[in-house]
Amino acid sequence: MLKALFYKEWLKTRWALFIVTGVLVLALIKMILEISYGIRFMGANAYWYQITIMGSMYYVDLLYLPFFAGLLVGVTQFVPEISESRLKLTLHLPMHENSILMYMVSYGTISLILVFILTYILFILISSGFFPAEIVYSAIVTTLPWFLAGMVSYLATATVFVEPIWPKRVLMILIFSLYIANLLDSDHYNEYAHSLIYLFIISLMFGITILYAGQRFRKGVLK
Amino acid sequence: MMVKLSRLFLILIVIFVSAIYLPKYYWISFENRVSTPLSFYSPVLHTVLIAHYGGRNYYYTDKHGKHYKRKRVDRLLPLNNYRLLAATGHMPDSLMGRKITLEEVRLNNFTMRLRPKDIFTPVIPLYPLFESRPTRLKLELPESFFRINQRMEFVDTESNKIIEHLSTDFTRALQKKGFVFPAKKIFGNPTTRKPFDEGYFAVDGKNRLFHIKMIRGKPYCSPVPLPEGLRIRAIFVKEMELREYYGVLISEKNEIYFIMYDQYRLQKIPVTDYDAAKDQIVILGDLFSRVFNVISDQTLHSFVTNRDYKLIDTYQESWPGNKETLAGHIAQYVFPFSLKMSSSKSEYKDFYFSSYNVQALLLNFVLFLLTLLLLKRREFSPLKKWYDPLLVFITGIYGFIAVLIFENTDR
Repeated sequence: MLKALFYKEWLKTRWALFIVTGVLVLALIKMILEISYGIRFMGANAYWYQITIMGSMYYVDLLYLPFFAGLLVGVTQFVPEISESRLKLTLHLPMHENSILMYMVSYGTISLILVFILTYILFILISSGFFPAEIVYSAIVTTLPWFLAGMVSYLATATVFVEPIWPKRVLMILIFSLYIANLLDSDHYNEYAHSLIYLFIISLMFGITILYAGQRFRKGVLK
Repeated sequence: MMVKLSRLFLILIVIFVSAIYLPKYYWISFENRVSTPLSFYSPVLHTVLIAHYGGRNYYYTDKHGKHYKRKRVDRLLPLNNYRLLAATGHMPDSLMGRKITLEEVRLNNFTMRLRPKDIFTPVIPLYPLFESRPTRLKLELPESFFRINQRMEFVDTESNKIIEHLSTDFTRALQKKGFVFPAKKIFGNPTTRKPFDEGYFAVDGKNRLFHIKMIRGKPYCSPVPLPEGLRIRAIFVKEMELREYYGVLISEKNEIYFIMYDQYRLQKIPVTDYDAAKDQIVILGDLFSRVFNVISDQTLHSFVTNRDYKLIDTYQESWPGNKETLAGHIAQYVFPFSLKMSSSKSEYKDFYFSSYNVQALLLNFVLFLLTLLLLKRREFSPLKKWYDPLLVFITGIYGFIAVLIFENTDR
């Protein structure tokens, strides 16, 4: 049963996942080109100076990508469900309704985490080729909130789609966007070093927000 | 149960977001610029003159509040305005009973600004060590960056590999002077836009201070004697042609010292009332005096010393902040608290909560009653759904918005 459910989710989202992975890999290739160009033209020492002292982020292209990745996966997974109210059928599967919703979002979360881990491994390998551990470490700390924003944007998208009423959806989009904006407000490296763990805990709360929307969907509320 | 928890999380997210953005946009709408005054010391009047910037009005006052027009002050602060005075032929040729030259005035003038943001800021602990006696005279960015962990290591930027001979040389030189690895803090002024280079000051594993620089490719290392029990918070290194001091040292107890060229003597600066986490310091130096302006959100406390760092004058002024404006008073009644993720005092994003405004409890109570009413209209028993009104009573407008958006759907 679970396998079938996951397979259904895979059918819906596989293209999105391929595209997301492809775009992230392209962004990393662009990053390699830019670093090597920068080093050739400025000199490696000046390039390091730009990073460590002037605070430039050679990975800044990654800022919004995880956010869009989460959005895309969320949309491709949930648009087919809400068009013509197919979600009603899904919720009629012989399984507890909340469990079905939770399995659906865990599928998306896990697949996004896998994509992000792959991206991180490549990112760390590339960075270590050019830079010492200190710079790589700061790159990780600086980009983590951006990937966290990707997870939140996925979970938030899922919740927004399951919510049946439009005015409420708009309010949800507003609130969730403001929350995500908070994670993407990076203009200096390691800024989130002290608060990251707490933001991570708060972001975990998005994991079950879909249940509230799901309950409203089942009840067919009108406002 | 899970649905209840889900709704609670949504409500907490709304409270979190609105506690950040409602006060933020409220203040973007109503906040007024408060311009900070700054003290100068007049060698003509032998007293402080306070500059008040702010829009079109730019005027000075003395300690007693007497106004001076900007133009008149040019001649009262000849050392600060020497270029202007020299260009118009008004520069005095002697001051404080001695002859002065323009060259002397230029050499002795300096400004330093030490902000909390410069202390509380993340760093990547890799630093370029400049050649301090460059053969072509101009400072050049070195090809390697160093770190001080279990030893001092130089990493070549081109190959990203450790340069063994430099690392061994410097590690040995440091060990010889008793440096205990790893370094806890490293301070320098890594820029080529300075007249010469004085390298770095590093705090070793036993909280002792060492001066490290590179002279003709060879290490120079010297311990800097510290007073008993002094713990270093930060050092601002600034190379100046005057060569009086290497930089400003700020201790964990908020004491300020200059690290003097004279055998690394620590010259204590007679400044009280300074908190490195909150206040910025603007140091104005000239031929005859030093002015230390300690600026906090709503006060200026200035300490003037002579060149021997003996206190010769002080000045203190406070001004109303935005909290004392009408908008500020209203805010206290509307927002029970506010949250900021960034601060003007630190480069770190963190949870900067304001203190709780007791005044807002009035509005909170009204919203609390409204929440009860709403529950009743939806035919919920307030006794069973007690947590909604309670949350509203504590978090006020934020909680109220949250329970309005995510109403109770579960019966």
